[in-house]
Amino acid sequence: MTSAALLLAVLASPAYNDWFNTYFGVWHRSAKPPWEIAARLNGAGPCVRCLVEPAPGAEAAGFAFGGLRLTLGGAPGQGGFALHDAAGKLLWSDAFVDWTPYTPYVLEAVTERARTRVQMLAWDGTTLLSQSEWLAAKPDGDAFALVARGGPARFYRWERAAQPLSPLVADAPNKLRLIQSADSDWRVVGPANWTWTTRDRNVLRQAAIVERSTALNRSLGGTGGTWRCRVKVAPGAGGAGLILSGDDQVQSGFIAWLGGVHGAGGLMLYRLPLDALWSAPQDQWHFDTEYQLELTIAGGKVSCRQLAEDGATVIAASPAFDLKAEERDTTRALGFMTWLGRAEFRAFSEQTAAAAPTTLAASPLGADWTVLAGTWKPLPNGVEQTGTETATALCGRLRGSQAVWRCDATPGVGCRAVALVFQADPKLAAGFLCRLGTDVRLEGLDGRVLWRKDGVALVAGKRYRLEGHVETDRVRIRVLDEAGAPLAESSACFISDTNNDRVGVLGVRSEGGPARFEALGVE
Amino acid sequence: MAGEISRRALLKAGGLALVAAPAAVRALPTGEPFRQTSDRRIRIGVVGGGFGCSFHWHEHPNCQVIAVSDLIPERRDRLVQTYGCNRPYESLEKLILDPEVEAVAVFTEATNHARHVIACMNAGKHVISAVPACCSLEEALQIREVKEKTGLTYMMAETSHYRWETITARRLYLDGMFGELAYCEAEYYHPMTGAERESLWFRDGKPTWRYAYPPMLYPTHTNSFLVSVTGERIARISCIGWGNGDPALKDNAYQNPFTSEVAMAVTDRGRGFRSNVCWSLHAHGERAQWFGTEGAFYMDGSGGQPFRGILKGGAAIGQLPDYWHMVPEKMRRDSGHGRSHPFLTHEFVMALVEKRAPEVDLYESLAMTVPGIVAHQSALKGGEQLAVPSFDPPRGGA
Repeated sequence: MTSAALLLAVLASPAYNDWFNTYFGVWHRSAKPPWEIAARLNGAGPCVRCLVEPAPGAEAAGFAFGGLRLTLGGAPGQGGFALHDAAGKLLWSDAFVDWTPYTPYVLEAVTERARTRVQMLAWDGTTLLSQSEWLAAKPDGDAFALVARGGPARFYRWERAAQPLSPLVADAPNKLRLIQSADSDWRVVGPANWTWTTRDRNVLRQAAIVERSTALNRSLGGTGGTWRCRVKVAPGAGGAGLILSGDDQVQSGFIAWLGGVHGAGGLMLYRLPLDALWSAPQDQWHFDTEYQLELTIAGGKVSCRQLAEDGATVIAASPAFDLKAEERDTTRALGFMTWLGRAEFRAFSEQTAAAAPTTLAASPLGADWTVLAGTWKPLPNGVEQTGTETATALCGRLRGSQAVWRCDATPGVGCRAVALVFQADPKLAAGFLCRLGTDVRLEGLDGRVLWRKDGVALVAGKRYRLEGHVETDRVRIRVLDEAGAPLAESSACFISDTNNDRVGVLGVRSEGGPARFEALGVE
Repeated sequence: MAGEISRRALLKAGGLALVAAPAAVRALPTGEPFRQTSDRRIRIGVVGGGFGCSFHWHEHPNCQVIAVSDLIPERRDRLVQTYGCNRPYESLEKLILDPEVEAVAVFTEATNHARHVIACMNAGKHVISAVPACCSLEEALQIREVKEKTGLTYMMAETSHYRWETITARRLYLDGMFGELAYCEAEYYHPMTGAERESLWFRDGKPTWRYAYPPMLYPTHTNSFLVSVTGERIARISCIGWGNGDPALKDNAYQNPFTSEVAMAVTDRGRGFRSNVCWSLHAHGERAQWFGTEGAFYMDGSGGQPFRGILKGGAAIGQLPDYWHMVPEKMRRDSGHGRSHPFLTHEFVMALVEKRAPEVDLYESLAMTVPGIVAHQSALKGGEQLAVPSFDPPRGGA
C-alpha cells in the first residue's frame, strides 16, 4: 500500500477538509490549520526527504520528523530554508535562498548519532541549493508529518533513504553567496544574484539579468586614496563599474563606469546618482574582456582610469574634478554596480595593488610563510603587517587538525580588526577565523559568522591572546587580555565532519592597519 | 502515484466539493516530476508535415512514431526526417488502414479536423488533433457521437492549456489565491497582413484554408484561458466583428466579412469573460488576465505588460515557475506556443498509457471550440447574445 493510500483515511476526516490526497501526492489547499498531517515513510535509512512545492505566500512548507521541522519559507514571500526543533526554536536557517512558488524542491535531512544536517536541492535531486553543516540536533522517534503553514503546498515522494542526495561540500551555493547573514559587511541594493565564483572568494559575479544592482562593502573604502578592481562585462549587459558610495542607497559618491554603447562603449565618471562628469570615446570596452578600473580621490579631486588587462596600458583617463566642500571628508564604501546584465569583479580591496596575485610572490617572511596580501616583515617571535590593506599571511610550518591554535595580536593605530586564521586550507578553501574588531566573531573562511559577541572591541596598542579550539566536528574560540583573563569565549559550534581529519595551517590577518602577531602555536 | 486508487475516488473521499465538475477534476495539479513507470510505447502516426513536425513524439519514452503522412511530398519527407520514421503514407486515409497504428496525431487544415478525427476513430484509432476540434455545431455533434460510440480517446492540442502562465493560473485558482475568480480577459492577436497574409493565405498562388478564415472559428487559444483554469462553461455569448478592407472579405469560402472579432460572454457560473481574436491589429500573441475578488494575475504581452500576480493575503508572484520537471528529460525544450508542445505530447501519451481521459479531452475541447462558432454567428447578427449549447455528458458521467 502506498503512502498516499495510507493517508486516505486521515484525509477523509472532516477535520482535514483542506488536505487532499491527489493522484500524484498530497495537497494542502488553504491557509488554515491543521498545519500538519501525519504520513508514513517508505524506505529505510538515515535520510528523510520529500519533494515540496510551495504556493505563493506560504510561510512554511516542508516536513516534520522526530520533532524537528524542516521547511521552506522564512518571511512570507521572501524565500528561506530553516530547521526548527519541536519547541519552535530555530536551529539553523538560510534566510537568503530563493524559491519560486509552484516549483518543487527536495528537502532532505540526514541524521547520524546525535547530529543532523539538512539540505535543499532542485527537483532533479542533484542540483544543490543550500546546505547546513552538522547540527547538534537529533530527531526524537520516527513520527513524520507534512507541514504547510500560512498557505497552500503540494507534496510528493516522501521517503527514507540510505544515502544522502549530496555529501557535505565546501562550495554549496549558500556558502558562496555574497550575503549569508544579517551582519555581513556587504550590502546589496536592488534585485541581484551576487555570488563568489571561487572557493577562495576572490571573484565576485552578479549573475542576474536585472536593470541595476549594486553591492557595497561597508568595511572597505575610506575618505581618500586609489581604489582598483578588475571587471569583465558579460555579453548583452549594458555596463558595469567601480563605486565609492557615500551612503547605503548609492545616492552619493562616485563611480568609474564602463558605459555608453553596449559592448563597445567607453569609460565614464559619474557623481552619483546621475551627474555625468566625463566620458571617454566609445568602442574602448568590449564584452568578456577584462579591464582594470581605478577611482582616485586625492587632493580634493576625483578622477578615474581604465587600464588594459595587463594592468599597465592606460586605455582612458579622466581629468581630475574638484570635490564639493561637503564631499571632502566623506567616508565612502567600496562597491560594484551592474546594469542590464551580468559582470564579474575581482582583485579589489582598499588601496589595492594593481591586481590580486594569481601566483604567490616570494614571501618576505621566509620559506615557511605564504603572504596572500599585505606588507609584512618578520619579528623575532612572529610577524608584523605594516600596511593599511587587509592582509593575510599563512605559516605552513604550523600545521594541525584537532588542536588548540593561538597567537598574540597587537593592533596598531588604524587597524580595524585582527584575526587568528586556524586550520586553514592553504588556498583558504576551508578554515576558521578568530576575529577581534568592533566585536568578537568566530567565522568560517567561507564568510559565515558562526558565533559573535558584541561589547568587546579592540584597542590599538593593547595585546590580545586569540585562540581557536578544534574538536571533533566542533570549533570554538577564546579572546584573552594580556594578563590571560578571558574577554570572550564562544560556545562550541558544530561544523562539517569533513573537518575532523583535515590538516590545516595557522595564519594571521589584519584589516585596515598595522598589527603585530607573536607567540604563534598549535598544540 | 497512488497505485490502484483513482483520482476520482480519492477526491470523493477527501470531500473535494470545489472540484465537483469533471473539467476541474481533470485540472488537478500534476506537479510531480516525471519518472517513467511503464515500458509501454504508444504506436502513433503523424499526419501533417507543417505544424505536425513541431511535437516530440519520438522523444517520449512511452511513444514511437511508426507512420507519417502528408498529401504534399516535401512535407511528407519532412515528417520522415523529423521523426526518423520510414513508413510514409500518401494520405491520412491510407495511414489509418495500418493496423499497427494505435493513435493518430492530426495536424491538418482546421476545416478538415472533424472529418479526419471521425475517420481515425472509425478506424479504431485514438486521436489528438490540432485546434479547433471542429468548425460547426454539426461537426461537434458528429465527433461526440463517434467518440462515445467507440470509447476511444480524443485530445485537442490546445497550446494555451499548457502555457506555463496557464498552468500557474490553474494552480492559483485551485489554491484559492484569487478569492472568487470573477472575470477573465483573453486575447489572441495574429496579424495576417503584408507578408504574413501572403504566406498563410496562399500556397502556390491558391487560397489556403486560412484565406479570410473567421477569427472566432479559431477561438480555443483564448477560451482555454478560462475553461482550462476554472472548468466553467461559456453559457451565452455576444460578439462584434469588423473588417479591415481586405478584398478577401468580399469573396471567400466562409462568406466572412471580419478580420477581428471581440466577444463578451457569460459563464454557467454567471461570471463575465471577454475574448478577442483579431487578424488585423498591431499586436501579437496569446495572453490573458484573471481578476478575482482578492487577487489578480496578469500574463506578459507583446505590448510590454509584465508577468505579475497580486494575490490573496498579500502574496505575490513575479517570476514564472519552471515546469520542465513535468515532462521527460529529452523533451525539455521550447518548440513553440509558450513551451506547451512537450506538455501536449506528454499528456496525450500518458493518457493512453494510463488509460485515462486526457486533460483536454473531447468535452473540454468542445467547451473551448463551440463558443467561438456561436460567437461568429452572433457577430453576423450584429452582436445578438446567443445561447451556447453544451456538449458535456450528463452530470455524473464522463
